[in-house]
Amino acid sequence: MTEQERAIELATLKEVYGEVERANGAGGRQLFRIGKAALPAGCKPSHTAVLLIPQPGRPQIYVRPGITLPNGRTPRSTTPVAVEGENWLQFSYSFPWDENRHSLMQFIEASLRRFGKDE
Amino acid sequence: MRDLLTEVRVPSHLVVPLLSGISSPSWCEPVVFGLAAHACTGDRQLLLVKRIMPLPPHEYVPDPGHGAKWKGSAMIPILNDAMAQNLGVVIFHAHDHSGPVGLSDDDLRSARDLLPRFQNLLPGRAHASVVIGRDSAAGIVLGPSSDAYLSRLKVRLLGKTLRDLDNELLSEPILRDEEIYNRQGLLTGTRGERAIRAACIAVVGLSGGGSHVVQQLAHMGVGHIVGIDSDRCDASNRSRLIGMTSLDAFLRRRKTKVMARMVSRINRHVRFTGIAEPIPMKTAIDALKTADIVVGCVDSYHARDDIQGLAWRYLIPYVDIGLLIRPISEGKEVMIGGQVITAIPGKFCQWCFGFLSDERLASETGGRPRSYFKGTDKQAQVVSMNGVLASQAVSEVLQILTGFAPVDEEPSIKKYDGLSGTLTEMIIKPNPTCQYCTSVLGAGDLIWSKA
Repeated sequence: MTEQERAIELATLKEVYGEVERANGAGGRQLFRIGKAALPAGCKPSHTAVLLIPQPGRPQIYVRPGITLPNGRTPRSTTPVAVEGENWLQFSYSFPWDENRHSLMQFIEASLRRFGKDE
Repeated sequence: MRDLLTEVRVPSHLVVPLLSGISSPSWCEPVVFGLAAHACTGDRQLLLVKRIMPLPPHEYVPDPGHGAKWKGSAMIPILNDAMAQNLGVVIFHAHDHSGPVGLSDDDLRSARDLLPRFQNLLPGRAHASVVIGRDSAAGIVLGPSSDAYLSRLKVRLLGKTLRDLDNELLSEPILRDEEIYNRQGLLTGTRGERAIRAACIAVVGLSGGGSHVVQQLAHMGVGHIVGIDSDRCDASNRSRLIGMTSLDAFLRRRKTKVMARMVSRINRHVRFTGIAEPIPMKTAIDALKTADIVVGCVDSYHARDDIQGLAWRYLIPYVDIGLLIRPISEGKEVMIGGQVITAIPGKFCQWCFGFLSDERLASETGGRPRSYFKGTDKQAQVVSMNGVLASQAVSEVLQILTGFAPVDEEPSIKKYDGLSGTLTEMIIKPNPTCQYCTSVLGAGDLIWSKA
């Protein structure tokens, strides 16, 4: 991704989510933190912070631990992890993704749909 | 109310460049610049030195009115590097004498001139001016985005023994419980006993290995033990969890509760903090950050990776123990092996020599992401063998705190053979290209800013 493309992506994220922060991680990788993104209806809490790490291929995404699904259960195949010394929840969700055609905002929205599934 | 304490931590590979740089024979007081990340723990701010940059002799300007004066242009490459890596700047120099040291009036004037300039360039970082004596240190610190100078400061030089240069430690009152520890003190000395009493040791995993470690640390009189384990007792733990009773199993008490009770019965002056959360959770991470040493008694590579990452990020020595017993099965002979790995930041990490590897981590998740990790299979455990490794881990802690034995700084681990009952030292070849040591060591807290 070029600097210009990244700037456009960042502007979109700010427009959609409001507060977006940036940090430099170990080895120079860039991390973005979105303060508040909506989870699917019925999840508790209704919003979560999101950590996004762009990288070649598919970005890495994490949310805050402690989310319960619309059925009240804890989501399966999730685990708390330490990312750069901070506590986040790692989760797995498969969906088609093409970095040349899709935006980071689309990636986040598609990823968070995982919490709408009662499993 | 006293100032927040600032602790400047220097990883072992930078200790010699720092000390030789500030003590080089010269016609003025030599200055060394450090580039440092920082982190906040519950009770202190850490400055984590990532790079040491001595000032070349030709950059000094003769001036009888100052201990050291240098050309302004000499700062340009240092500040460029600091900005490129987003790190704070620490100015080190030496006052070569024993006893408490302090910044001179000239040092203070210079620091109050330079530190705000550093802050203008790098507002999100802490900057400091530090004077190092033979057994103490002092200085002033300008915190991130703050205009208040902090003057409570100590310097920790990491090595197989921690060297704390601390004016306050020198003036500590007479030790408490001297009678209890007078036999131990014959080995460790007064300074060693002070270090033990002032230490905070985190023990991660409170079962077969960790409960032994906690028990011995309490007997040793460690000031503060942080026990981290989210599990509750069950009947199967009784074969090896020191201090556990049948009632603990019946009531499914938390292991942290059992440890708290055991510690208070051994010595009520030893503080125990139980964290009933696993390591990646925030409370556990925050607790681990406050430790001077972490002892890992965990049974998976993922858990070791988590501890290793945090220990390296905050420059905390990490003692790891592990036991593997393969009982006789399918014609194979019994095998009892284990290890005690004392990883000192700046020497080697568990990634350097392949004890941790992507393959080993993947083996615990079937090659899938971490979220598929289900824990390790139940393995054989025997209390006596857990005890051997735990005892050695506590001796390693004692060595790090007090330096009771003269040891060389060569990187090594100890391998355990349970059949012969021996611990054998194995020299580890340092790996200068270890990506983990290059990128994570001393990284500190993330610094977030508006995108």
